Amino acid sequence: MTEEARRRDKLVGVSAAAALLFNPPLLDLFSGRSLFGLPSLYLYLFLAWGGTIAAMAVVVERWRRATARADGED
Amino acid sequence: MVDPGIVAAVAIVYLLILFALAYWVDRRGQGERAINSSIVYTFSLAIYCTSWTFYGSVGLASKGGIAFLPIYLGPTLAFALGWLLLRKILRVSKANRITSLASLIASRFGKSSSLGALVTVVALVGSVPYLALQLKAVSTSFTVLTEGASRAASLASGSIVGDAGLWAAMLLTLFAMLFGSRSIQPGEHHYGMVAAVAFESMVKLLCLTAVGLFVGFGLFHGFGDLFRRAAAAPGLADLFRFQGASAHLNWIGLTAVSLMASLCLPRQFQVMVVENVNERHLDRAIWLFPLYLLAINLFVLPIALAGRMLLPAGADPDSMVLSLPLASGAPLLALLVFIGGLSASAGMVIVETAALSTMVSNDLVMPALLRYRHRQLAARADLIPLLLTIRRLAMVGVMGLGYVYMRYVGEAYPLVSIGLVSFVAVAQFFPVILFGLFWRRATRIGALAGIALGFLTWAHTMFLPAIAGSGLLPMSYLTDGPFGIAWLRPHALFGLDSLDPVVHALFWTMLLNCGAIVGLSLFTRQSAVERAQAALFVDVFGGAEAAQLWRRTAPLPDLRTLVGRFLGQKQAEAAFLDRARRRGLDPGGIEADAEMVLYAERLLAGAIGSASARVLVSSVVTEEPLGVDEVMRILDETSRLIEVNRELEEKSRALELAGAELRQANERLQELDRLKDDFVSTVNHELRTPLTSIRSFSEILRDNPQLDAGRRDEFYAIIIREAERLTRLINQMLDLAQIQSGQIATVIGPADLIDVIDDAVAATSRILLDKGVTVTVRAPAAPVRPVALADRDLLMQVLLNLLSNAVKFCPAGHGQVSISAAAPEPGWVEFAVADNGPGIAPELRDVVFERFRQIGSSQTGKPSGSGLGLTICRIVVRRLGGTIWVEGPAQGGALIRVRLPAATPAEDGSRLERAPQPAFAAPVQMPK
Amino acid sequence: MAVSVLIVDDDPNILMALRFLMEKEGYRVSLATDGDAALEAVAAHRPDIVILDVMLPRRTGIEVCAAIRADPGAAGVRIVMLTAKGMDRERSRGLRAGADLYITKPFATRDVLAQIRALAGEPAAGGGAG
Repeated sequence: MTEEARRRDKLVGVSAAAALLFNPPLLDLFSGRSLFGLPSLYLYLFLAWGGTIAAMAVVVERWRRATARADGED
Repeated sequence: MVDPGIVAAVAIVYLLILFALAYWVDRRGQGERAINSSIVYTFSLAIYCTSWTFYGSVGLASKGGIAFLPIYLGPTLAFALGWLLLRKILRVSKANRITSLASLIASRFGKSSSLGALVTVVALVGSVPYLALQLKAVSTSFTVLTEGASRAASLASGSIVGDAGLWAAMLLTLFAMLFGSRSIQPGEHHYGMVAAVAFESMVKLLCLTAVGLFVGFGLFHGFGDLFRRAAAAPGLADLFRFQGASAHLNWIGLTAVSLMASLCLPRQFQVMVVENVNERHLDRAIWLFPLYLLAINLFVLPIALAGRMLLPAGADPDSMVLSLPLASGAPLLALLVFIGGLSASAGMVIVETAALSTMVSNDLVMPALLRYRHRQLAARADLIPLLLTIRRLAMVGVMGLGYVYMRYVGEAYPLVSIGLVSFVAVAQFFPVILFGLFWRRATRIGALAGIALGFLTWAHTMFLPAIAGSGLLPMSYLTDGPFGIAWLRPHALFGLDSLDPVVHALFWTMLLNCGAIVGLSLFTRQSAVERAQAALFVDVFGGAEAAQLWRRTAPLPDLRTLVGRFLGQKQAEAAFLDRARRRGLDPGGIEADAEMVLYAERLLAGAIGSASARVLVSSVVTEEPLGVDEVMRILDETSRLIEVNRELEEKSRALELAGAELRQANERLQELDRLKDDFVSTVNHELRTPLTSIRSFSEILRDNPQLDAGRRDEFYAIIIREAERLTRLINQMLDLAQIQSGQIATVIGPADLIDVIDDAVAATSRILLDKGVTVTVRAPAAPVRPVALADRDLLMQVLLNLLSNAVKFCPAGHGQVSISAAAPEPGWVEFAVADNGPGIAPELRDVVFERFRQIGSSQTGKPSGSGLGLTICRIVVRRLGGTIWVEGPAQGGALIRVRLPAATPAEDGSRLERAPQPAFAAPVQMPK
Repeated sequence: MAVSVLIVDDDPNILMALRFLMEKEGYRVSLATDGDAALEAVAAHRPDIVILDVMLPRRTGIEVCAAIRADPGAAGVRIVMLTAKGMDRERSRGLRAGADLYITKPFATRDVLAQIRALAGEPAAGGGAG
């Protein structure tokens, strides 16, 4: 399995997770509640969103560092 | 309220700053360096967030809570999940120099110009509401800022001249024209435009964040306070809820449509693919761009909540971002918000019009011109001005449509609703792109049908209802369906009335679109071009190269001129030179190979789109399209070509040989010609010499009657001798001519050599006497009697010639000539004539038989005679089937021997009886 | 002093005829039958006029003519070329080589006499032995 394929699979995994996280039934759980004085739906969505982005960033940046070394650029 | 003059001035100054930035980047000549960063790339991608985001999201959030978020979650998913797709689009587009969405789709399906045109039309129509949205936002925000929120509602009733939207439209069009169509570049990179757009993205993010912070900390005591108060406020609780099947479906539907649209919007394609300078920028943008989306949406809900709480109930939700600072006594912040909104609109409008104008010119107008006005087009050497004019007109046209749509349709709808109409329209491209890049069997017919059906359904379910809603179409279209057909009602197609209009439209368009693509692709066949392109697109990472499937050649100058007409001759030349140098080819080469042709096509595709490029290139290219299943034919053909080649080589070798033979023959002919000239010249001389003597002495005798008798006799003798010589010469020449031309009749029969020799000696006895030559004839002893099989008269002539020749060379007074005959071997007889003259040098023994080769002419003075005697002998002997040659006798003199075929005994039996005759001898001495 | 004429021809009959004609005219006649002999005779006797056949053994008349013209001592010698070929090409070659007259065989004896008479009467350009 190549490094690129591994990275692809990781990104697919992250996006699948994101798709699940943003799924309406899951959102229902947070509907109308409050957490730390903030609307839980709002909080949840942005946390999930941020988490997804962070996961993507980790995958991509690791990859970039690896290939940057290999390519000798950046 | 802010003074309109100030607002206008600030807006113009801000736009001028953008101008300056873009201009500076373009002028630096290193525009690529200036924007060569994944941060700039991400900010340019943020063009996704327009005034829809800036004003509309807040408006939507103020009524639907988190319902605005799917629009941004979609792209997030698109960038994560769609990394595969995005990277593929990028790679394919760069490899094929694709400069627009239409080109991408047209190129994938066999560079089909009809598909390119369809995509262009759909994109154009689909983008009009979106452009209208931007203009409306600018117009509204300007009105709100200068006249207050209450006036904003009566926007459409204002005069056109005083409408900020019009001025914005004109300014932004100008900007787009300046930086989106300044020149024709092979790669369609507009560095200045990208820089300006990235800058705008930064500005709008900062402005919205500023408003968010102002709301959170200026109007409330932090966001905790804001949310607490919102939770307590009446009527706002719903905004924190997410319940019901309709909400779920809307959520999923909007996420899906924004996912698709974020990849298919013309402006997104422009910044994401066309303006991309480094594929690696995309890698980081995968998470940076969603991060930007998150950041710009962070304060949307708080601002919406604040608006709901602080602004009067009837306030325009789409203007809340602006109204809040205004109402809170912060006009400067309001001005900043206006700038942010203007940024959001400007970026979108500029790039969208640039992208659309590229499509219109490359995929709609150029193919049409190529098809219907090809001759006029061919007459123009430089097509760059034409291209630019088309693009600028397209920009003006698109903006005009947007403005009209805004004035007559957009008024009735909130920003997000207007934008979603466009989203669903461009989403129609998504299935085609997806199938096109991952499913090799997707065909052009399928793609055409999919997009067309999706587009028509969209027009029916979204576009026309919007127009109907504005009063341009009867409302009955919406409520009763077209022509009163209830099951065709736009928002309840086939009776499906449980869905939100957007989801409803998305459902039907996608169903029909995907169904048509898959269904028709399964039942139609791809052409060879399509198949090649499909392989190229689907296997872009497999290194598929179209050139392998094409055998195309073209004259390089033609190709260069063609490309030069669209890119400028200098640029074209430089590009070709560079390419040739890189490939290690001769830059001065005449013939462009398939690779070069492909390069030229891609160069052209960069400027005018792949479909037009293909049409143009094929006008100068000799092309043999080859399908995969035609490979066998190629193989056959190749082997046949090799065969033909070998045959050709053989033929050329044979030709060379023939040429050499011809050359030799020609040399022989020239030699013969020269010999003939010599012959004529010699004959001329030989005839004139005796004539001169005869005439001279005749005149002397006439003019000198008193001459003494002795002299007179002497002169008369000379005259007679020379006359005889002349006669002899003429006879011999006639003989020669006759024998050579084969006109002489020969009677072949037994000829007794001794008989003939006796006759010849008798015939020449007079000369022999005159010259005092003794002739000896030696015959073999009986019973041998050499009998030749020959024409007797010709044989006689040979002997006479040989005799006179011998006599000629004999020393005067004591000449001796001996003639012998023999039968040396069975089947052959011989005779020889010898004299006691000076003899013939061994090296001259072959030459003497040539015409007028009178040996001795340069040694011993000129012998008398024609020089034709021996020539005639040789010709006659050969005619009789014999040979003649010179032998050198031991003691001086010349001996010429003739060998002839012998007559068979049966034929000469009668003569065998004859007794041998005594040798004839004529020892006659005559005083001279 | 009588005009001296050198006659060069390889045909004895023509030589005899020309000699008869020239002697009857009162010229001093010398004879040669080939090119070498002709040049020797020119060197020895400095004839006023040379009647020169083109087709000569050993050395062609053209060569002899050119050789005489190349000899400054023989500057006054008049040369009359005789040829049996009578082609224009020959004629121009002879004249180019420096011949004063060009006569084609067979010729009319009266014409030849008249032309040589005219030639003998002219003063020699180079002041020869005339």
